[in-house]
Amino acid sequence: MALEVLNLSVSIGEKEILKDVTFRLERGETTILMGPNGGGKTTLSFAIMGHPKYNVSGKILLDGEDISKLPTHERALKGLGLAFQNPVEIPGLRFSSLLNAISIKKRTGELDMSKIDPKVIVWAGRKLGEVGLDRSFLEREVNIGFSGGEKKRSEIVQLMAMDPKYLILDEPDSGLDVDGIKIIGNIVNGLKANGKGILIITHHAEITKFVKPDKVMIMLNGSIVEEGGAELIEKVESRGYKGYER
Amino acid sequence: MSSLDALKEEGASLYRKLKWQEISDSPMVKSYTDWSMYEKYLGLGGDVRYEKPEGNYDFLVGDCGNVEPSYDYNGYIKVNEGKLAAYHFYELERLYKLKVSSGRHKIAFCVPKSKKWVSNHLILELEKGSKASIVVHEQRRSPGSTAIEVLLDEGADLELSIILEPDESFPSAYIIRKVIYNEGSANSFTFSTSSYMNRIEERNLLFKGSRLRHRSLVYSYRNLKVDNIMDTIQIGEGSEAYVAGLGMAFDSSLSSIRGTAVISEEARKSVSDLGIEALLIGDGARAYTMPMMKIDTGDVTAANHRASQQRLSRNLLFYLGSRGLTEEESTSLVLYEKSISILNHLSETKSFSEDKVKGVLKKIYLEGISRNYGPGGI
Amino acid sequence: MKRLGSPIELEKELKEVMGEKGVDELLGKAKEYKKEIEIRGKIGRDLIEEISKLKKEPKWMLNLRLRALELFEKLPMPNWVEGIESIDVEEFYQYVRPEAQPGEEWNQLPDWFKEYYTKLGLPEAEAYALSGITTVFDSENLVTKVKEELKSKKVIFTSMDEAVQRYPEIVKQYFSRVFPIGDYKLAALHYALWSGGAFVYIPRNTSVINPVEAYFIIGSELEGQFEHTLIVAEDNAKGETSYLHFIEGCAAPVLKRFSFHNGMVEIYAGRNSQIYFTTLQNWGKSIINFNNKRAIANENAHVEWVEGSIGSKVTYTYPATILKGRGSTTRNISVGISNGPYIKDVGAKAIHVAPDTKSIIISKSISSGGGLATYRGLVKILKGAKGSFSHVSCDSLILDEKSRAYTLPRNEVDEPTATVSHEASVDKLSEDQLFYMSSRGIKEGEAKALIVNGFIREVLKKLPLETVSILTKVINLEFSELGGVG
Repeated sequence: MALEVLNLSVSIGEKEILKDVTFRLERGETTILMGPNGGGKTTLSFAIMGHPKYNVSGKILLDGEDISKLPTHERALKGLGLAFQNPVEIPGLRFSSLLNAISIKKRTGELDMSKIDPKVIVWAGRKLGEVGLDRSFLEREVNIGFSGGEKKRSEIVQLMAMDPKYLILDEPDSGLDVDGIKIIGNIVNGLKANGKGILIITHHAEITKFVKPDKVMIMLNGSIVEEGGAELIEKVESRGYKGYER
Repeated sequence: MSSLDALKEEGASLYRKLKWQEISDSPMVKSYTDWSMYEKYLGLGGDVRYEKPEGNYDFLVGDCGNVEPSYDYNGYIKVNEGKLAAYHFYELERLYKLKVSSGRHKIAFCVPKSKKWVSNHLILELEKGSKASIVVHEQRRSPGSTAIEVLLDEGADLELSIILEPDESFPSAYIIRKVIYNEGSANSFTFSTSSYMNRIEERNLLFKGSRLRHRSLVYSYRNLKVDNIMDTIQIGEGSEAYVAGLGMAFDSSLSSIRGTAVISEEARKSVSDLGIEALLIGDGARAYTMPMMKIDTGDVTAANHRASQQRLSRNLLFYLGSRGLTEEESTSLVLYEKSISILNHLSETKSFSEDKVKGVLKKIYLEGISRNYGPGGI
Repeated sequence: MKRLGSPIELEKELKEVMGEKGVDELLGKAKEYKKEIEIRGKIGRDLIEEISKLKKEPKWMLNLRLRALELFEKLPMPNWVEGIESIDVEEFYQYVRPEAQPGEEWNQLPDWFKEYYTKLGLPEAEAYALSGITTVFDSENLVTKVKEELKSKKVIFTSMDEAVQRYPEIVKQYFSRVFPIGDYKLAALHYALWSGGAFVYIPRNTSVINPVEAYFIIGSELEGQFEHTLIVAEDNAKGETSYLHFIEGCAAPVLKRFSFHNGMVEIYAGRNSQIYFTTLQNWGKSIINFNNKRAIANENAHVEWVEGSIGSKVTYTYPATILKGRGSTTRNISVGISNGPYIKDVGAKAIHVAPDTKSIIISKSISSGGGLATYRGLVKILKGAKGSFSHVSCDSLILDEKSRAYTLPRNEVDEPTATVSHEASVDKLSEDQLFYMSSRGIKEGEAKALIVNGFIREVLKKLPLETVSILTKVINLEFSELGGVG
């Protein structure tokens, strides 16, 4: 079972951002997607998740089912999770309420905001501890005044509440110190062991100090230009992306 | 101090002469309050019945209640302020005054039922140095006006929640005055549902060293209109006012949310902060905001204001969508949470206010009022 | 040679004029000069017909004036105008023609006119930086120069009166179509009495590289000036654009009593055109200044208003853009300084009619010496202007205890997919700041000029270089008089 992206092309207006991207993310595997800024990595994650601003052609199969026409929330409920690089601020919405909503929707398929599940709050308190955040974080407004590292950790906790089959982590290692990256790395390894498929988008590949990838892809100018194993990381680190440019 | 009878008489002669409003609200809209809605009810006769509101209250104000009426007026509303004030006094049958000491108080008006204009008027006086929390709840089944005046004597400390539930099918007007004398302090909240035309005209007067933290919340739905005005006039040195208004416009309704923050020449070293936000939910929804500021002294410690009107952004809906929530669920979640978060400055009156807010929001959703979604521009 | 109150930079020492207290003092006391015609009286049919006859106007223009007169008589005095006792428009001379032959050369002017213009540095600026200039003195244009760039590009640049005679078809099509005659009482008065001003017509796909300038002087007290500027940019072909930067400046010598300026600017920005309009308002302290400015922006057009509002007793001006075409944009930047017991009531309007339109409004106001600086604005998003965006930011700086700052914004959103935001703040000059500066040997006046420059620096970054330089100088000049106080 896998998440398959087949001949995916993405454009906004007349501008083509992704060209004919094809890859396969197996359950229980970790794939690293590397590439320079502006190469289309975040666009790829948004397109898989179904951001409405793009014109998309090609197919996205989740365990064989074509989800490329589904609205974003249905993709999420079918088991796709995205940790954003720059998550949007939501004034007024408490972190605890968001987790509560995610969890209720996931379990019941409906959202009743007036129901607060105390178990979710207890669970959230524990998970916050695991990613190195204080319990008082529950009362903060979502992403408002979060430091770079707090955003990464908050995104991971939200994904854990969703319990998706496939996770896309967009730059999970930026804005974090080494201890933070280690925490995230360990969580990723645990998720992998539990049979999740994980795609990590990274510019600097700091996280590969803690996560051993099964596959590495290099993306440049909207295309995947090379695929291989962990050895590609060293290649990029020593030579940069210059070698790929035509 | 003037007698109620004299005021009624003055109101009777003035309301025919005075205009609803002298100066246009904007170059393109003469008035954000649609005064023609009130005009129809002037001079109409008819019977009035008063019913006891549901729930337990310490004081019931009105013909069904347990408070003695008063015959002398010592409040801050001038009968010649405009047509509304003049007509309010003209129609005022009973005036109520309550001296409030320290403690928790729940006050409700008797519910007037009538097709004619009914005026309600309550003056609350807080003793010097007292510390009180007050809930004032008004429901009506009639058109008309309600004046609520709260006078905080020196050093008094008040938490106040005013919950207003007018009848949807009539026009309603609320004239609220809060006067905070030297070193007084108030945390206040005003919540109102919508009516045919609902005007909430709230004015806060701050003396030396006083402090006000005020929040207001209004919902408008269907084709109803609300004009929510919150003015703050600081006339004492070192006073502080933090005021925020939130409005949500569903369906084809209009929410106008506005206020003027005045720091007068004498109010040196004062702070004023005014924030206004309107969320447009329905496809025909409209929102007008006017966060105005008049600073008459250069010796100001801080003065800021801001306003925004928008829908939830496309990026926000995408973000919550990626967590499994539909656009409708995302919108209702954010609206719900925003409504609740505006009560953060309350403590003793919080749960009462929160219940009312939740109840109204639930009703809006149950009635399927807000069917139209879709993101804003960005 | 000094070049002040005009937007073109000259590398001249500012120090020379630092001792003087504003542009009116630079021009000195009002000079006596001969007037060929002066008209003052009851504003009625006879007076309007007399002015029109003097100008040998066609019938349609006379009819327009008479229609305006009717509206003027009917309309009420605007009730939002604060700080002005009722203006008695019949106390002013409604039309004044100085005795001088209009033409193309500075030299043809009598010496005393030449002296004013030389002090303002106009001939020099015209010589090296402009593609055209016209100067209005009292009610009539005196010097109008059209240089090679305009001629070769077939851009029409002329006085408004001449345009009525020579290009009646274009004028008929656009005159009073952007700013309606019956908009409010003083607009109607303007149309009844208008005289002098500039007319620019930009053919399709034409960009004018060097700016054009109009300069207005009121020479005497108890005078009314009603100049009218009309700019028309034709629709451009797909993928093509046109461009014009229009600069207006104004000045008056020291007058004993008040004079009244009630000017108007109409801009019609055709498809894909870009019109930049800069005003450096530096009237003397005896001028009551109403300035009526409005633009219509068609598809993908951009209109930019920049207003440096420095002088005058009171100024009321709210440049407006009607975003009529899809994708049209506007930016409105105003810097208002109210230094002394004067009033600046300035602001902006943006009316969003079409989808995907955008407006940015930035206002910086400074009040000092008992002045009142007011921002008054309106953002209106009409139903159907889907996805439109507007952002307004207003910052006020109050330099002393007795000065005041008002911010009066209005945001009216009838289209739920629009995004509108507004932010405003009021800052003061703190004693700590002043003390710190004086410990560095900086005098109070200089310190204020420095702080003011810092306060508006961010705005200046967005302006054309020549505008920035002259604004900076004028501000220094405005506050240098305080130098002796500290």
